[in-house]
Amino acid sequence: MIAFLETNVAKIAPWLAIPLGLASMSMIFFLVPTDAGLGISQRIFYWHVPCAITCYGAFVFAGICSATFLYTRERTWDRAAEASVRVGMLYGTLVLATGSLWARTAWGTWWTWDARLTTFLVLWLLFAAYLILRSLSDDELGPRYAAVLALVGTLNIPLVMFATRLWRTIHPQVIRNPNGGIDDPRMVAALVLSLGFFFTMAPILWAMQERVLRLREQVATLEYESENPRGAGRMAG
Amino acid sequence: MTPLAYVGLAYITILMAIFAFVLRLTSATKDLDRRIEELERNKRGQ
Repeated sequence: MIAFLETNVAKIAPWLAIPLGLASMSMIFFLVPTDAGLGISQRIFYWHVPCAITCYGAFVFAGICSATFLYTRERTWDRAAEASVRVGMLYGTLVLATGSLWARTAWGTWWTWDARLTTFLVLWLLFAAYLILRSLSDDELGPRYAAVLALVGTLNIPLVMFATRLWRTIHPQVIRNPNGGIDDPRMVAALVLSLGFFFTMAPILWAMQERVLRLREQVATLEYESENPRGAGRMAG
Repeated sequence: MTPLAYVGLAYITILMAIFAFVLRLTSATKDLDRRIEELERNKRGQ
């Protein structure tokens, strides 16, 4: 499955991502009407929301790969999980950055300890801890601990998603909002195109990251073999 | 700063971050490919 994703999806995805990105930006800046309540700053949502959804998707995929790794102990799954976490962290960081920019215009502050913002920050910190753990550990146990941490992070996602319903929050509900939100067909089209753009970009970035991790392991194996010619083959990466 | 400037800044941030991520990975792939080639050449020479 991992090899299929890397060879096929990542080859087709760039041809979809570029037109989707251009179409999405054209719609957002030239065709979408300005929201009556939130004003022009609402346009940030068209990329902020897909960024968040893709971030959740990447972390869920990392969780699935981590669970499979814990079950099979195959390095391919561990590598796929790490690549997915790295892509998820990129999107997660962008969610925090763009959300902060929107909050500055709408709320007059860069950050507030709202339920959605806080739970998302906890999610981000969990996966940041995953990456720190990966970079600090070089024994066999490191990937296993990291896989458990990825599973904990993945289980945290529903909490972030439903934070606006579970607690009293000031974070706007963009999708399925009974009091408005994205309801104009042009707004929906812009959001769908943006989702398409981020969904197609994710496998491209994942495949590139996975390749880098695989090549790093190959270098480590070759370096080990050149230093220990007799012990070659003992090191898996 | 006007709200439109914040919108522009948000989109520029996303595009720049994705571009930097791709650039970093492309350069890392190139470096690692070169290193593998070098190590395999040394291995054959031994």
